[in-house]
Amino acid sequence: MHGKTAVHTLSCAYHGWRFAKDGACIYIPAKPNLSPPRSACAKTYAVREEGGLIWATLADASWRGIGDVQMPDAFCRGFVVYRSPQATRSFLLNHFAAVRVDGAVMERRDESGARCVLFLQPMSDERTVIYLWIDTEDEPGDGARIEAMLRAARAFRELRTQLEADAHDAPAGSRR
Amino acid sequence: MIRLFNYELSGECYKLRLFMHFLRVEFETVAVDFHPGREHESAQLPVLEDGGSRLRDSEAILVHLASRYDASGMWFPVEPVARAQVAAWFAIARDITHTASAARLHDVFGYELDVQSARRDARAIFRLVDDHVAESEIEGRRWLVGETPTLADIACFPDIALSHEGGIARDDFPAIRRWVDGMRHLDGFVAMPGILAPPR
Amino acid sequence: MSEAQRDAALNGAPVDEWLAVSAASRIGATPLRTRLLGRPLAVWRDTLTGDPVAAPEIGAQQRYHAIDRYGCTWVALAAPRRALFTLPQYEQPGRRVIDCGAFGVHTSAPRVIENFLDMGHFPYVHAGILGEEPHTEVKDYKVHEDEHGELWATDCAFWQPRAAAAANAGMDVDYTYRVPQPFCALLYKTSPRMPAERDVIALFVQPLGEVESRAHLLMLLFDDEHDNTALVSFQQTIFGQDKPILESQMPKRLPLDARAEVSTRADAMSMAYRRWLKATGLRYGVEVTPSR
Repeated sequence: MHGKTAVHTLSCAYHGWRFAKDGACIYIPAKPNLSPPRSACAKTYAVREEGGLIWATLADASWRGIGDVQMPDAFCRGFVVYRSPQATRSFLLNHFAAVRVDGAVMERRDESGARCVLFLQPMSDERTVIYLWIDTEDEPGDGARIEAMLRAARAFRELRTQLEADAHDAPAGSRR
Repeated sequence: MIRLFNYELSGECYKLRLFMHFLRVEFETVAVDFHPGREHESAQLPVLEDGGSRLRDSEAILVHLASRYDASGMWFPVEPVARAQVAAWFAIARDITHTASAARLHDVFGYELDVQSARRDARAIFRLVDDHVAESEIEGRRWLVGETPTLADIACFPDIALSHEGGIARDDFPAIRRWVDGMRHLDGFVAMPGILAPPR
Repeated sequence: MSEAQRDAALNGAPVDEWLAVSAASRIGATPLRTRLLGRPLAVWRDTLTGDPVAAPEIGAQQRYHAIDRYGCTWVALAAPRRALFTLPQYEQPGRRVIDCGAFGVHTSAPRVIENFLDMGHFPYVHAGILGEEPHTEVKDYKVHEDEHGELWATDCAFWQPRAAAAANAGMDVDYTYRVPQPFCALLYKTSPRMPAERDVIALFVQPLGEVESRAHLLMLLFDDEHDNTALVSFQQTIFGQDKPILESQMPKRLPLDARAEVSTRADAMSMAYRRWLKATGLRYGVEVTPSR
């Protein structure tokens, strides 16, 4: 849905219907004197912000945290991968030694002992998003910190290429 | 007064309309017809007349407008390396036009061409642009060149922001989506059919 | 039974309706290649008779039915079950007939038609032109089906900042909508130049496939001041603004069940169009829950 948010309401770009945080429609501009019917509501999902990430659930899962994985201090970037969430997870497990996995969170250390944590988002049957976080010793804004993040991002970009090439019928060029 | 020979649904013409709004430069438009099958006429779009000069080619016109009207030098940097980078993005903008815009010409205007190849090639370029923007964000930057918007951003914006009209969704390119949103929120932004302005 | 009729029996496609495929002026000796109801189509003009000819492909022996009407070329894949609707304004002296082009849209034909019948979106999608906050109210209007089975919405009124290329100021506009067949809609609106007459804006949607359409736009109006280009530009801008909304509507096939999407009295014509479509038995570009 196209829309805009203003204070605590969401407004639809088509007819200007306004929705409150709980999804209830509170105003229909075409009929300004009408109380919107209760059936006019947007579906909402549970969402929370934790550790610098936004988390959502489409069903009624209760929040169980990220296990005992320590949140790293530097977010590099998100990668959209043209593979299924299952295939992505399998590939990463096979590829890395010393991986600690807890659901959609993967933690590993590279040869030098540097730690990175991957958060996997199941976008669709054919798409996974991987959020790459690393530990750095340096202060925010420090040139060395940025260099470390860029190095990690570029290395992971190489890995993504391998991950996508690994499929028998990789949908890398598929129309969506 | 600057005159722009303009077709409202043309991404190339929109580059100039958008840039002149950012520059707060006044201009008048002369509506031109655009019909598939008469490409030789539409290949002449956009055309801009300024002070007796008649200019063609959207990137060339962007350079002219920036050189004449942007006292800040922000849009077309004077510094040689930055200027060269902006020029390099003009080439990428051309590639985007030949792929994403071609797919749009097929889907919207009924042009006959190999749209599957166009979409596939456009997505490959979008992946490169998405990676570039994501890595720039690591460095605290969100524009294609340097720390401010430049002609590189203007040149690439319309065809990327209209890609869905050619069957190329931007769901797979989150950094590009943030970049498009950044452009839309610049002071002076104007919409075109297919590219929504942010709500007031 | 022809292949087309066999398919129609299976999927409720309107193979026996006249469907617009092109502006007539664009049909010449060189065949136009397009699609209709998911099938390939070639259309050209017979150089001897001047009549349009339609076939599955250029070398095929099989012929479809083809005619020119109202500035468009129409094709029926099977023997048409009725004559094309009448449009008397087309022959009216003083009227200009303006071909506003054709645009591909990634959605079903009924979605395109339904949006055309909707006024509630004017202040949002066409802000500053066809509508503006706070004039957002859609007053109650009348909907009826006439003796030919055509659907009409009358006594529609809306305040518009810039109702047409010819309008210099905001005005109250009277709208009448007519749906003579499932994929065609006509809008009759107050003419800024001749207030006693109505400008006609015609939308003929060509179903390329179930969720892939081509909208053919035509205007029949009184305007002696603006040239074609300005008038076409106005209409195309409006359509270009509708396109992204249309392409974001899910599902792409129009749901015909009353409870599928929420409506209010402002949507009376949309609801009537859906009920009317369901009654025609159309099963192409629509979603119907099978009854138990």
